[in-house]
Amino acid sequence: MTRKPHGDFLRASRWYAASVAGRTNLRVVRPNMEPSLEPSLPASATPPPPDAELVIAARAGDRRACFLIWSKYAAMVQRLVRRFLGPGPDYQDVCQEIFMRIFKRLGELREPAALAGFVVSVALGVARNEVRRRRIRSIVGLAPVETLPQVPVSSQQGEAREALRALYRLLDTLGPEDRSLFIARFVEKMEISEVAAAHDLSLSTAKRRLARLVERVNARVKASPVLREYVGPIGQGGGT
Amino acid sequence: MKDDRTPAQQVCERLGDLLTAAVPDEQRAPDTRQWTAIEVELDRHGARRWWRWPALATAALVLVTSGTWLIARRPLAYRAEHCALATDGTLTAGGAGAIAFTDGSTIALAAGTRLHVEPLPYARGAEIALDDGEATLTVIHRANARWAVTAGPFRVDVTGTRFSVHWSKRRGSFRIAMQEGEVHVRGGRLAGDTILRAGQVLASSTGEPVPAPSTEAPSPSPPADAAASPAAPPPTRTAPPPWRRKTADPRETETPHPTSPALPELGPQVRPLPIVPTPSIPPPGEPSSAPRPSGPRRITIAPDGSLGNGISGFAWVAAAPATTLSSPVTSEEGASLARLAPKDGELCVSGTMAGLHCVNAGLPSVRCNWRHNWGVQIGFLIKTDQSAWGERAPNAIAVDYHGRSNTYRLNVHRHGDPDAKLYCIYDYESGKAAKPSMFKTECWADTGETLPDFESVDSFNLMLPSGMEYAAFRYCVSGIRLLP
Repeated sequence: MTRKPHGDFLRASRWYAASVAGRTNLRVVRPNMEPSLEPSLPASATPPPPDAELVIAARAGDRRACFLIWSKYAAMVQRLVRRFLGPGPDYQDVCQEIFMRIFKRLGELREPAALAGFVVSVALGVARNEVRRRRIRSIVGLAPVETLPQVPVSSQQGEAREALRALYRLLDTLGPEDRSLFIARFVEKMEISEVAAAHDLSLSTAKRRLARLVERVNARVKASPVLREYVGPIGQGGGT
Repeated sequence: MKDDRTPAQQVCERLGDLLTAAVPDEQRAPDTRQWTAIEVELDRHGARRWWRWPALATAALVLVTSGTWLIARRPLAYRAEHCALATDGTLTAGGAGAIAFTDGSTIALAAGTRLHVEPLPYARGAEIALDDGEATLTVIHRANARWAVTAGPFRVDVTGTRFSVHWSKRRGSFRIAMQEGEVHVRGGRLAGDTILRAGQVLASSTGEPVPAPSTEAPSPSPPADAAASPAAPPPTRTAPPPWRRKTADPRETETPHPTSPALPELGPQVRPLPIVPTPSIPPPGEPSSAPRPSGPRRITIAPDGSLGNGISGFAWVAAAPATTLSSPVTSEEGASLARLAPKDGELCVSGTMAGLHCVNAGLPSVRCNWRHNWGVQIGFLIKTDQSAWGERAPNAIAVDYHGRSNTYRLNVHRHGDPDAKLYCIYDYESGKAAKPSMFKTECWADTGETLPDFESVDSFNLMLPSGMEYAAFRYCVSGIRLLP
């Protein structure tokens, strides 16, 4: 790999001039760096390599491949986490933890091309753990339950905002696993096979648990006037 | 969705849509600060992952070894009688003072004598800096013993003997009288090592040439005429003893040293400590037995980092923003630039540097964040007038260094050139004579302008460039020679 010239004479000169003032006439100007020395990341004009290549390179310790994986999936992970937890102040920390876990566990990925599913799987797992942590914190009194999660107040209409608040309350009553299944299946619109893979379940088990989840959610919707009103006539029938 | 959806599933989907709408797909590019945080964690994780268990085992081993080593490294203890100890470590004999070491060696001090005692590691001996007065040493001979007395510009190396040494700071007079054994004396106007044996006396005073050692008989030691005695042959000049060659000589310079006590002007504690000389590594093509006036000139570095031996300037260390220095601990300029002082005769830096971020790696169009992550430099800024190199510019320079196996680069800068314009030697090898014709402005491709000469060079540095991986580093410059 070629090396470009550079130096730190500027600061050395400045420092020297300050330390031996009067002894020298060293110039204090910013070094004229070559254009090619300017920081070039994260700009990248070329399309990123396929996932399989990125995974192989990242496993070999290529930091640039890690960066490309992050830049490709950061938005998706962030969106998933915010939907899972609700937009709180610390979702960035959760996202960071997710990518740390992804890069640590890349060696477990049997099929490098299946990176997207792997990312979702890890993201859901970390989000579940975060929900558990929040529950424990609420139990020991470190954080009141009603503040978790906070409900967005952006452009939602009043009814939808109330429904959203009620929905998060409903999700809080589910276990982390069921919450994760709900997010994967009904929010991220994943196929059942993808849901099964992301939760390390067999297809049949995933179907059974989803069916139970649907029943449970419907039962709680019926018990919630806000949600019952929000879903309208389709919520009146019940059954699966 | 599918037609076979049940109403219950439709309820869930409706709720899912609610959440989807509440947190829509993110259109903005991700915040790169998150990546920065991840990268920092990856660096830490990488270090932990690779080093965790080996590090624990190594730490345990190091603990045991260092404990043993520290015990073995303990210097000689000594007790001073009739002496006053100043805060700067100076011992002053109030009357007839005495210092007794645990190995049985003793120093008798005349009244008013001032000196410093610096016991050496491994209980090998001590270095005595005689500031003024007279001391009589009785050194017990032991294998690997190292004793030395410095007095003004003179240095006396001892293995096991008895002798008196006198140094008058005011008059600049030096006198050594041998009673038993032999010593090596050098410094002042002595061209090399002078061996003195029992019965011989060597004396010098300010501005006078050092006379040939006489053979007077100092009381109470015989013989009266040592020169005539086979036991006391005429003084001979020879190479320093092997162990001395690796030891920094506080007074050693290649150019004749004036006998006047010019060095104490720096203060009693500021003794120029040359970087470890490397006479055993002659530069390629240069005979090791070159005549002294045309031999290599070694740059000396004072404890405060100032350059010496005909050159004025100082040593410094500079680190890129992506480099973290653990030693030296810096305070100026955002903890990335500091004056560098020698330690144990070497200029050393250590720390960690982040890996480079590059695009188009392996292609001619490769672009990396060099500007923020170029590495670390041990540099030498010298006076920027036409006499930057003292009396004359060298024809070549040689930098001795050691450190982790890597590609090191030697850079020079000419006075008047833009700051960013450097001439460099890529993959510079330790001790190699670097001639001007070897420096190119694009040394990585061996192209560009060639350095015409060293006349206008006002700074040079040994750089450890950053690499693609996060790395810990430590490297030291142990000597700089200017070759005629």
